[in-house]
This record gives sequence, C-alpha cells and structure tokens, in this order.
Amino acid sequence: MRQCRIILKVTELNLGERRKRQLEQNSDVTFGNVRKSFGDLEVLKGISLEIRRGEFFSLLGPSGCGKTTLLRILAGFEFADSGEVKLRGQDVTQLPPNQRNVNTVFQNYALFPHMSIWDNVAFGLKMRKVAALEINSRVEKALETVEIASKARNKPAQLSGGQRQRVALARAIVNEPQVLLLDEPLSALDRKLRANLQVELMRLQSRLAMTFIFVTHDQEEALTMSDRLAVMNRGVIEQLGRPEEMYEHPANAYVAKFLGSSNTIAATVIAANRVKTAFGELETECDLPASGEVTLAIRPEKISLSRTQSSNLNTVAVKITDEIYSGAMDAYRVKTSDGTELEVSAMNIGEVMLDFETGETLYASFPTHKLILLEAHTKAEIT
Amino acid sequence: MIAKTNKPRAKKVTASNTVGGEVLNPIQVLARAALTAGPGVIWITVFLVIPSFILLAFSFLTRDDLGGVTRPFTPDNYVRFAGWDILGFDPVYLEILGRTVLVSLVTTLFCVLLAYPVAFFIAAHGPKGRNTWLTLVIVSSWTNLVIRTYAWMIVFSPGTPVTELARVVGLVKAGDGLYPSDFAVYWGMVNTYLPFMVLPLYTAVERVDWSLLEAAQDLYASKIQAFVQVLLPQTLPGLVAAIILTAIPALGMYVVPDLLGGAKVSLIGNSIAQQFGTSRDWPFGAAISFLVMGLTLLVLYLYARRAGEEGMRDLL
Repeated sequence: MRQCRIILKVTELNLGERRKRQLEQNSDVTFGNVRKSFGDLEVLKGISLEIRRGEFFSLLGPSGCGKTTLLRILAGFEFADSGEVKLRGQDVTQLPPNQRNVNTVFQNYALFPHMSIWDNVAFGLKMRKVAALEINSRVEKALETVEIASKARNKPAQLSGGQRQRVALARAIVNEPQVLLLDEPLSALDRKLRANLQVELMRLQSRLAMTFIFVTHDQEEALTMSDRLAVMNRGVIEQLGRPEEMYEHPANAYVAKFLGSSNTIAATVIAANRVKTAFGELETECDLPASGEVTLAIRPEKISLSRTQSSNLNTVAVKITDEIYSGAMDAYRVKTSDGTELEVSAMNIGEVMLDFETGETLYASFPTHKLILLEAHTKAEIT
Repeated sequence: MIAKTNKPRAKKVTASNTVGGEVLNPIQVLARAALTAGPGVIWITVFLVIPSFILLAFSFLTRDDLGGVTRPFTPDNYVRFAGWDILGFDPVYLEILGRTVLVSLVTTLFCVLLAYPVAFFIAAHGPKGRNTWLTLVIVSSWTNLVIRTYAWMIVFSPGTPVTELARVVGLVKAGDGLYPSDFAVYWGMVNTYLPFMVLPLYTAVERVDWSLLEAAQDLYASKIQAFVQVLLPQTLPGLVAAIILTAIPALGMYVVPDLLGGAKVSLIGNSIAQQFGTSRDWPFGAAISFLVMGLTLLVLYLYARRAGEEGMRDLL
C-alpha cells in the first residue's frame, strides 16, 4: 500500500493509479451515524466513517475517546444504540460476533491458556468446520507467516510477549477475514520490539491485501503505519485523512496537539496576509478571514533558531528557558519578550553554531508557509 | 518437587553458609533453620508423624482379651480385611470399602453438578454480592455436623411437610419417613461437602479470563461452544482440587451414614469407628485406617504422575 503510493508519486504508473481508484471505489466498512451510550455517558456521538478495501486505517485518540467502542461495535461485542454498520455492503448492525467475517487481535492477546499455539490458531477454522486437511495447511501457513512455527506445540504461557502477539495475529489472519481489527496490539510491548512489529504488520498488511483497522493512542504508531487515520475526541472524529495531510494541515488545535506537538498562537487579522500576535506581527500564506481573531499553529521543528538576525520577516527575539536533550533531537523552551512560551526543536547534528545554551537570547524565525490556520473550535466542542 | 525449582543455580557457594550475603558458621545456620522451620517440624512430628507410626505399629499387633494391644507381630489384621477369617472367606470389608468408594464418588458427582452453577452464579456478582453469597454457602457448615444431621433426621421423619410432599409425589409410602434411606445419606453427605466443592470451584471460576469468551466468539464459536471449550477448561485445576477436597473426606465420613442411613448403610468410616469403639479392636481398626489412607495416597500419587509438577502446584 505505502509502497504503491510511493511508486505513484515517482513514476505515475498506471498500475498504481488503478489500485488507487479501486481503493476509492470499494468501501469495506461503513459506519452510518453510529451512536452509543453507556448509562448517561455518550461515548459515540454519531460516527459516520467509510473504510476502504485493503487499506491500513487507524483510529487514534486518547483513552475514553470512543475508538475502542467503535472497534467493538464493528466486531459485534457491543451493539450501536442507533445508526448502522455495514461490511462490504451487508448490514451487520445486529449480527452477533461469530457471524461476522471480521477477526480481532486483542490488546491482551486473549490466547486460550489451556490450548497449544497450534490449537489456538486452529480454533476459528474448527469452529467453522473447515476440513481437517485444510486446517493443517492453513494453520501451518499462518504460523510461518508470523514466524512462530517452531513454537506450535507450546502453550501460550511459555511464550514471550512478542511471540504471543504473533500468535494472536496468526489466530486472526488464518481465518482470512474481510477486515482485521487490531485493538492496541503493540501497547504492551517494549519500544524496540514495537518498532519491529510495526514494520512487520505493515508488510503483512500489504502482502495479504487485507483491510486493517488499527486502534491506538500512540500518534507515532498511527502516523507511521496508516494509509489513512481518524483522530477521535470525546465520541466524534476530529479529522480524517492521510498521515501527512493530518500532520501538515491539522484542522484544529486538538489534532495539532495530538499528532505531534505544536505551538498555537492567538492572533488578530490586520491585513490579507498579516496577523498581529502578542509578540509582534507575522506574515502568513494561510487563507485568512477578512478580519477578527484567529488561531495559528506552527510545529516546533519548523521554527528555526539562530544567533544572528538574518531577516526582519517573521523573526522574533527569544530567550531559551529550558533545554531538553533527547538524543537525536534537541528541544528548547523559549520565551518571547512578552512572555509567550514556545517549543522549538532541532536535529542534534553536533554543530557548535546550533548548540544553544539556556539563557541565551536568540532569533526565532517562522517561515511564512509553515504557519497553519486552525479552526477555532474542535468538533467535540461543537457537537 | 517445588523446592527443587527454587534452588539457586550456583552450586559452589552452598546455600547453607551464605544468607543474604553474610557468611554464617554451621551453628548459626542450624540455629536459623531451627527457629524458622523448627516449630512446623515439631508440630508435624508430634501430631502427625508419631501418631501415624503408632497406628502403623498397632495395625500389626493383636487385640488382647481386655481390648488392649499386645504382641505378637502379625499381618493377620490385613488378611482379615481382605476377607479371610477364622470362619473362612467372606469379603465383607472389601464390600464395605467398595460401597464407601461408590458413596464418596456419587456424593462428589452431585456436589460437582450443584457447585458449578453456584460458583458461576457467585462469580457473576460484584465484590459485595460475592461475599454475601460465599458467606451463605459457608454458614451451614458452621453448625456442628452431628446437630445438622439430627436436624435432617427430624426433617425427614414421617409426617413432616417434606415427607408429606414426598408421599404425595409417590416417593414414600404413607407412614414411612424419608429416613433412614440411601437418599437421606446422600442428602446429608452432599449437604456436608458442598461448601468444600463450591469454594475451590468458585476460586477457579473467579480467575477465569472472561475476555476469552469474546475471543472465542470472535473466532466463530457460539456462546455455548465458547463456554464449553474455552471457559470450562480453565476451571479444571480448581475442579480437581475440589474433587480431592470432597472425595477424600467423604471416604472417611461415618456420622451421616450412621445416623441418616440407620443401621442399614455401613461405610468404612463406621467400621473404623466400630473397631476403635464398641469392638475395642484397635489393631484391626488401625489396619483399616492404614489401608484407606494408602488407597487415597495411591490415587493422589497416580494423579500427580499424570498431571506432573504443574498440576500438583495448581492443586496445592
């Protein structure tokens, strides 16, 4: 999938075009105005969403935003209060989980402790009364796909977290579901293992050409892995799109802050391309309204710091209040003369001229095309 | 078996002379061992090991004319149990033993059938409800066994509402009581041992990972299939523990069959009580006791061999 996109960009192959059109035509999962409440708490406030066939789709949001509930409604563990859920055109809103052609990889893996790895993976096929010979070959293939075939005779308790994760994956994909649901499957693993499994999941997804719906609260994970993602907040979808769209053009302050970090700047429009902020005037390429208050945002890595003032355009004198060293990146907290705090980050490339100390006074410049105009209210606030 | 796995790997520094890094002389090691393990060892020696050896010794001795224990050493008691007596071959004790095993197993079976729903029922409640229901399960065993058994005798005697109901349904003839009968014996036994079955089963059911039910349904299992193939197997260790906790004490029960069965139903427990009591034949009573104990240990040993270390740990 992701490879396809790259090919498309570079050479504009017909194959890629066709694949892309195909993706857009075939919707695999459709949520139509899905609402769900638990007691007085409305966790889903009318979610409408289309997920395309064969895409890696992520639902991203903090805990309690409703992403897991949405996934559980698709799996059939919960039922929507109103609205409809369709799987390849078939209305499955009221169907029990065992009659839906979707499989879930659970956060805690939910492997059956009394069964061997082999029996765990074969469970779904046995339940569907697949012929024994076919079960054998499919289970073997699934175990090989996730590279855990050598542990087939072991019990889940004898496996490490990462290995259990692979088994959970094999147990789901062996059934060749229309849609694979992944409920924060990597959150229990350590960082290094998680990064490896991320890559493996992406490869697996493009090889199987299966629709993956991935629930996570980890923005980095969602940005890395997804073809498209939806950022959720208090039961609504704040924004939906491709990772680079979402990161470069967040719709509002919530998305801007949730996907990476962001500086938000309150400003007043004073001309077609100029705003006035607490620390001076800024020029921007955003489509500004004719007048009034606006909120602009800029990513920390897009502000550049220097000891000399190279130009007057969008350059502000700042003082470094904190320096946070984190290996590859240097993060700085800086303060403008009026006291506005900003976050700035820079690659740690080891150049003396870019190695700033706390207390130094520097010039921060805001590239005009890197300033983003945000919507004043989040969708959660409006609903 | 368990201690083996806990042994530190480093063999050169023997565990006995270093404790938490400090080096101790042998006397200190001994003193520490005596202080920690000592009380338990003394307790078990005085109340279990010594009496067992006395019992074992008695079982090879002979009853004297006044009901005391005297020499010569002889295996006669065991031969007598097997059925050979001065009067010839009559395997009456083997029959009693067989009947006892049967009663114990049937009691256990009824307990399992009753306790499973109860365990699931209790586990389905919140923490507060669980405590209430568990207390209700245990509370009946707070009454003294003999008193409780007498109470059942009254309940099952002729003319009581329960007996009248049984008469109307056609279970007993007019004028008869529900006791003494096999029914009353089983009723009393199940009543006695049900808590011992419910508690370990409840513990097992409470530990069941209910999210696996969803996983099973996600993998196309119906609710019943998910329950039978995924939830029930998880309770098996608890079930084995519960069966052992019920079946073994049930083997030795004598109050309930004695009272609720009238004189008709004699179990091995009654035989032992009789030998130590009215018959005043301690050596023979000791021999029966040892045989029952041996039988129990043999079954446990066979189970342990089959289930392995893991199974035994679940059990303990």
